[in-house]
Formats: sequence, C-alpha cells, structure tokens
Amino acid sequence: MADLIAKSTAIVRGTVQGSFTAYAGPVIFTHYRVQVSEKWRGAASAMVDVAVPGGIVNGVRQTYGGAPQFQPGGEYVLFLWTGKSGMTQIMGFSQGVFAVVQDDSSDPDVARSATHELMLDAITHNQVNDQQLTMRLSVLRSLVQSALGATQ
Amino acid sequence: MRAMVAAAAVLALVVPAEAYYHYTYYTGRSAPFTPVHARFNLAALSNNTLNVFVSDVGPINYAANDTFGSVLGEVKQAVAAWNTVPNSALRLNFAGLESASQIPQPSGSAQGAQNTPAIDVVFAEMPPGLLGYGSPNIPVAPQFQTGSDGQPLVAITRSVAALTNDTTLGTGPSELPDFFTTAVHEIGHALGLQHTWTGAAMSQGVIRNTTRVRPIDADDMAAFNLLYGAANWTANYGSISGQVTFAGGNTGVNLASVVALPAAGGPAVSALTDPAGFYNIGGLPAGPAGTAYILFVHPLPPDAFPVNAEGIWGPYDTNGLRFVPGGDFRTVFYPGTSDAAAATTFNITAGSSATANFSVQPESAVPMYDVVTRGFLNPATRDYTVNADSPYNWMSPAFIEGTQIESLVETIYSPLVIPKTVSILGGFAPAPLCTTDAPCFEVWSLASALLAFFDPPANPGTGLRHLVFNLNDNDVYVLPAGVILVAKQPPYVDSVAANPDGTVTVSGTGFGPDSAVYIDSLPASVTQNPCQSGASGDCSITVTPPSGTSGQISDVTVFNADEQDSTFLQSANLPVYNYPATSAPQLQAINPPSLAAGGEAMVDITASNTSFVAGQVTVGFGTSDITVTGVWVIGPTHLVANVMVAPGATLGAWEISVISGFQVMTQPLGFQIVAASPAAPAILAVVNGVTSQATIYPGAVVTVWGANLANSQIAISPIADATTPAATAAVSAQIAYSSGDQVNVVVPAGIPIGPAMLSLATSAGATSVVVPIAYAPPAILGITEPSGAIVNSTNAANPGDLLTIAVGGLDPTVTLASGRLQVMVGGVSMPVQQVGASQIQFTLNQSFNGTQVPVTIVVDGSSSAPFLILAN
Repeated sequence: MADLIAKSTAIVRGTVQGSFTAYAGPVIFTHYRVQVSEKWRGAASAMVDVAVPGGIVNGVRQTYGGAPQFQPGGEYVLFLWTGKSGMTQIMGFSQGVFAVVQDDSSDPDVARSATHELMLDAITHNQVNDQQLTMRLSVLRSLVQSALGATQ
Repeated sequence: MRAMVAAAAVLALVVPAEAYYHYTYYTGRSAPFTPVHARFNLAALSNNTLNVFVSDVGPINYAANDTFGSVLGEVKQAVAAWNTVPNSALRLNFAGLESASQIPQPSGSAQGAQNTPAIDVVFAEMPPGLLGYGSPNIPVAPQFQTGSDGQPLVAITRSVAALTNDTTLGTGPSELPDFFTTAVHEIGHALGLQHTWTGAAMSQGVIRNTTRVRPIDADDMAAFNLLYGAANWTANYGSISGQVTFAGGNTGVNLASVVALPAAGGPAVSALTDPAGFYNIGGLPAGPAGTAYILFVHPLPPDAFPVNAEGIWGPYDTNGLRFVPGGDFRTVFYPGTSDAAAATTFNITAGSSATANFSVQPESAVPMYDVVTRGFLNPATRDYTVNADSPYNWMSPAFIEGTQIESLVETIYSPLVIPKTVSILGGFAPAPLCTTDAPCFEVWSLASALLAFFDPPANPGTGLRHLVFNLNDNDVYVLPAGVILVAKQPPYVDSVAANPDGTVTVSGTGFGPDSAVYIDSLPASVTQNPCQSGASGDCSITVTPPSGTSGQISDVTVFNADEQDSTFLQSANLPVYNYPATSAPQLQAINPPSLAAGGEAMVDITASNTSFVAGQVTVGFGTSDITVTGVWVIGPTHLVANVMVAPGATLGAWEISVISGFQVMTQPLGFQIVAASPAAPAILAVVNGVTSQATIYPGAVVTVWGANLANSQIAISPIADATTPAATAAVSAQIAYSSGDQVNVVVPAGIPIGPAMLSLATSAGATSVVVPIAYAPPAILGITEPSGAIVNSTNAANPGDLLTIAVGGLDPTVTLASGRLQVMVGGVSMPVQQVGASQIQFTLNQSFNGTQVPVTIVVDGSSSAPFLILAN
C-alpha cells in the first residue's frame, strides 16, 4: 500500500461520467472521464481522463486480463499515474482501484480486489504479493495522508 | 490407498466438448455445446507461418546495462518458445522490426495496411511495476469460418502484445527472468490463449511458475495444439473427459477447472468445463508405459471474474450473450475426496482416453486461491536454508533441496486461511500447524503467509511438485508446480574473463554439463564445458558471446537444466562482460531492392562491421505480407534469404531490418513490393520431386512450382562469399519436365553441400531462390548383432536386440545433432542409442512376428533406401 501511494502521481476520489475508446498505436484504450470530488495527491484537474487498455473500436475488441472497467456513475478512489506521454493510467491495473460502496453513509466502505497480474518491486525486482482490501473511506484517506506526510 | 484405473479407449455416452481457456464462442445456448475458438486461420498464412513483428520504436528508457538488442533477444526467444510445441501445424517466425507508423490498426485507417495476419509487439507506457499485456483482436460480431483443418473458427487477423517501454520502472533490466516469462505469456494471449491455473506460462501472474529453462509447459502445449495442432496430433497424447455436476442433480457446472496432475510430479494439464459441465483434457503427455495422473476439479478464483476489471473473457454465444460461471463449489480429487492419497490414479498412454465425472458440493465462496510460494537461500553458504530470520535470498516459485531436513517453503496468499495441513505430493509427510518439529507450518499473519517445513522422503527426486492445502469442511486447495525440487546448489558466477580469441570464460560454482551461459538476453555458444554433473564446486565454461555493439556492457547469467539460475543469488549485482570497441554495423546493399507480389525469391544482403553467425541472424521486411522462409550466412558480412511475398500483398515500401546478436541494423522504407508482371515467371516452391523426401541433394530431381514457367532455362550455382575462393560458376540444370506451373530439374551431381542459387529465366523475365543442398540420404551397408552376427532378410533379429547399422555417406554434422536422425523399422521409429560417422546403434523395441520388414535411416526428413531384415 505504501508503495502504491508513493508511486502514484495523483490520488483522487471521483465519479465516472462517461467513456470513449481510441487506438494508441495498435492498442485500444478506453478513456474514462472522471469527475473529481476529492484530491488526495497531485494536481489533478476537476475532470481527469483515465486510460485503461482494452475496449472496442470499429467492431474490434481487445481484452486485457486484470484491466479495470468502470461503470458510468460509479464512484471510486483511484491511484493514478501520469507518464511522460501525458496519458493518465491506473496504478497496477485493479490494484489502484477502490470502489466506493454506495450506502448513503458519509463514510462509506471502499473495496479493492487483489490483482492477479505479475507486479514487480522497483527496487528489488521481486514479485509483489497483493491483497484484497476493504476499509472505510476515512481510513483509506488517513492512510494516504499519513503515508504522504511521512514522505514529505 | 490409491485405486489404479487403466485408461482404455472408451466411447463416452455423450461427446464431451473441448473447453480450454481460449477465446470461445458457442453456436447455441443449449447442450451439446460446440466450441468455436478465436484463432489464426492457417489458410491465410504463407507456409503456415505466423510472423511476429516488433515495433521499431523500442523502450524510451532502459535499466542499467539494458539495450534494445537485449529486449529484442527476449522477444525472439519468447517466439521461439511457442515454436517448440510438438505436433503443431503452425510455425511462428520472429520477423524483426516493423515501422511503428506502419503497424496496422484494424479500424479502417489507411496507414500501414498489411493483408496477412500477424502479431505486433509494441512498447507502451505502463505504470510502475507492470510488465506487459496482450490480446487478440476479436471481432465483436463473430463470423464463423472453416479452418484449413476443417474445424470451425473465428479468425484472428491481428494481435498485439504490449511490453513496458521503460525497463527502469520495476521491471528491468530486460534480461531478468520475469521480462522473458511475461513476453511468453503475452504472446500466448496474442495467439488466442487465456489464463489457466496450473502454474504454466498462461497462468495468471501470481501463480505462474515457468522459467527460462521451461518457458512453456504441458498445459500451454495442449491448449496451443487444440488451436493449431497438426492432423492427428492427439494420437501422441492421452486424454481424460467427463462432466462436472452439482451434487443432488444433473446441473452442469460452467467454467470449472479440471486438472490432471502427474502423480509422481511434473507439469499439470487442465481444461475448463462448457456450460453443461463437460470437459475434455487433451494433450496429456504419456510415457511409453503410460503416465499416472490424478485428477481434481476446482472453482475459478474470484479474480477470474472481478467486479471492476477484465477477467476471463466469455464464453459467448453468437448474439453476444455470455455464459455465466456455474458457481463456487468445494475442490475435490476424483472420485470425490479431499485426500490426494485416496485419489484414483489414471494410467494414461498415447492415444488413450479415460472418463471421470465429478459431483461437487456448492460452496458460498472460494476460500483460498492465488498462492505465491517462495524458497530461501543462504547467501553465505549458497545452500537452501531453513532459517528465515537470518540473511537470505528468496526466489519464487519455491525451490528446495529435496534431501534437506526441514526444507522451508513460504506460501503467501490473501485472505489468509489456516489449513489443517500442507503437503507436497510425492512422498512428503503432511505438515500440520507446528507444535513440535517438522513437518509442520507456522503462521505469519503480518505477511499473510505460512512458513511450512518439510522433511524429505526416501528418494525425493527432482523437478516440479504440487502443493496441497487441506482445509476445514473437507475443502482443499491445490497449487500445481508450487515447488521445484533440486539436488544441488544454484549456479553462482565468480568471474567473467575475456580471452584474446574473442571467447569469454565464465567461472563459478554450481555449474554442470547442462549449464547455459547467457549474455544479457541471449545464450552464448559453448566452446568448452568440462563441468561435471551433480557437482557444485568451482568450474569454468568458455563461450563465444553473441555479436554485440561497441562498448556494450552485458550482464552474465548461468541457467541450469534444473531451472536454477545465478540470479537467485546475484540479481542485485550481476557480473558483466564488456564488449570491445568496434565500428557501428551498417547495411550496405539489398539486392534486389524490390520484389513482385505472389512469389518466392532470393534477396542478397551485405553489411559492414558485422560477424554474422548461422542461426543467430534475423532478417525482416517490415510487413506481414512478406515471410522470410530461410536465412543463410555466406560470410561475416554477407547473407542470403528466401522471402515469400503474398499474392495479395499491399504494394509499397517497407522497413528492412537485420538483427545479429545484439546488433540491430535497419533501412526504413528499404524494400518495395511491386505489382507482378502478368507474364513474368514466379516461383512458389522448390521441393524434392519425390514427395516423401524432405531435402534436396546432388542428383535429386527437384520440382519447381510456380507460374509462367514454360520454356524456362534453369541454372544452379553454389553461393559463396566474395572473399571465399570457391567455385561459383552457374551450372545449367537438366530439365526433365516443364509446364506452365511446374518444372522438374536434376540437381547437378557435383554441386557442393550448402546454399545454392537456382536461377530461372524465361523470355518474360527472371527470378531466383536459394536452394539448400544437403547430403544425399545415407546408404545402409549392413546390420549386425553385438555378437557380430549378421541380420538380414534371412537371419532374424529379436525384440530387445541392440543392433548396429554400418552406414555410408552420412552427413557428418548429424553426429553432433542426433535428433535429426531416425531409424525406422517397418515404419516404426526405434530408439537410437548412438550415432557415429559410420555406425548407428538402435534398439529393436517391438516384435514383428517373424516377418520381413524394411529398415531405413531418415535424416532431416529424407529416407535412405530400405534394407530388409527378418524381425521376430
């Protein structure tokens, strides 16, 4: 979790407003427009474009195991990474997605399933073992703020 | 006590559907379900060859000592791994580079149209830690076709495998094993394979246990051959089929994973059930006396069907409606036990089939899945240690030294379910929660892990072993290939020394005759290896490095056949080899610079500052409409290649690339495809006129197939480097038959062995191709018993006899590669014991009941004249 927070260039809570698909080279990306309601890290604008590999263009589908999918209207806490190209992606596929459970609570649960894709530690090059997580939104927010405070 | 069941050729009451982990459609929504898989249609390829291209825009950022040449080496070997699948009708060809601007987008874009199906490997920006992803392009509205094998398919016309474009972000350098195994995995997706749960190459990342030594496993091969197997490929393997239903009814379970485990250890093979619960595990490797398998069925883990992510795709019907998974249930071994020791054992032989139906108990959730295993090494002693509190190096999957007391295997998973016992199948005693000494396991909650300690059984053996976790409520979790048993320390490189002759001596410990030395991503040719089997002491191996670039600093690693490698102890500080300063390699001339669509022809390539080595050079033409069918090294700076240009090729200019070791040379838009002249001769194939002979040799009659061949003049001449004083004069070949689409010519008797140029001219034009001249098949001079007794058509041989063939005219290079040679008796391949320049020993391993049978020697697919013997 600490590594996920440290390597994210932005961490936001937001709601998916819509999506479109496009090629980048031969890879299809689905671009989700996310309305940001909270910024926990980074200088994300009020609306971010989050690109996820996979989708349909002109009758052709590409599907990538582990790549997250979002529903319009869905609310998430997203750990984002923007590379040199300017494209913003999710950290670690589903690893960087916490779904906000819609329960009308002011402090809802957030849940993330573990990624089953191979992830490596940047320093040791060793395989990272991921875990399924469920917690209160306030707890996740505190975790992030605490981790960022420790690194600043 | 396991019950023994002999697998017989049985006729099942229903025909079980194939239901592996492919991209699958079903033609209807009711049983019987006929699967239609998305796959490449071989009829759309040249020579059944699928080209795999790499974008010429490589990674933008490299880890220390990493290079584009090394990355390309990994992709080349990943392609080669899939090309080793036995009994496949599909060949894969690493086709070099293609211009990023010419990679086709199947979206109606005008740029870079290529008409022949292929795989594109590209480098994409990925968040830290992610190495790659891959997918076929699947039509949203599937159109069912009939493949060249007569089976239905949904055609894949293009696929993509994306690898990270920054090897500093937790992934590199690229020569570390995970980059390679990821490349293998993503190309597997591009070929039409989804995930499996056996630990094989197509397993999801957390449980994938393949290595550079074992890049693909039996499960991958079975899945591959289901899509691309040659006719009758199943005859070489066994199969198990049946149905999985919920207890108390006949409701079939969709997408249950049925797994066959070799009881004595070894790779698992699996299949998924169809919507009616039927499965068929084909492609089970079987030894001559049969191989014992046990069988279990397990539900797919929840991350196979994640709520907010892509999981298993499909299966779908023709209307795009998905068949949902059948639901969770308890894992059981056949015939319905959680005790592996009580499982039925199936003795599987080649061509046999067995039936096993499961009845499973529903369960609300899958309690345990995605288990990562780790083993530990003491960096000081280089032994597999039992103390996880002391300094250690770890590797995944877990390796342990099979005879060691208290061998430690860490298992990490979440949520952490505490099992009743943990076992290694194959004689290890089950480990309960620790109260005394091993075997037992400790719980490490903080790491969501168990630390399991095992004591060795007698004769533990080596190789893949399977982990079994017995859970409460009679549930069980099985992790195939979770542990690898070894019998010696891993290799460790102490020093790397360059020699004046250009070779490199690598010294260290843990080496053996099976050790392979890698310079960055490529294996180096071994020139001397005196290391002894089973020894762990100091030893040195001398190798010739692949061609490198000026001043290239390359990591050196050693891999042993037992799957241990020197990164186990040295990944953070790999020893290096420094290539000397040299001038930059460059392409000098391409002749001809263009070819017409619809024919095969020779292209002559010269370069400067290169050291071409046969087998280490790739030539690419930047479009899947051109397939390179052969490359021959004529000299250090001189190549010739045969290329096939598809009849419907897109006209235009494409990028030429030549990759020699780590040297990468390109010429953008350097080669053109032009429209064919209607009257010009075109060669489509040159083959031995005797269809049963696969090679061309002096004195043979060869058939040239093509178009506009009437009234041809043909000459055949050796191809030699300009610096070699060899005879290169063209020799007119005697034409035995000629028509518009076929010419039969006699290969001159005195032509040297090696590549030759066949030039064909008519009044409307000329063309040429490379014809590799091989040794003529050997002659059998006589056959004897060990006693010296002659075996012939009247003096009989007996089953079990070790026979010696006196042979003449054998290709001397066959003695160094005996796999190229077969001895056939009565059409049956016999085990060859020894191949010498003038003698071949084989065992007559079956009875022929006192009949006269022909003995032949087959080299590279061409057979000697038969020698009749009497065989009892």
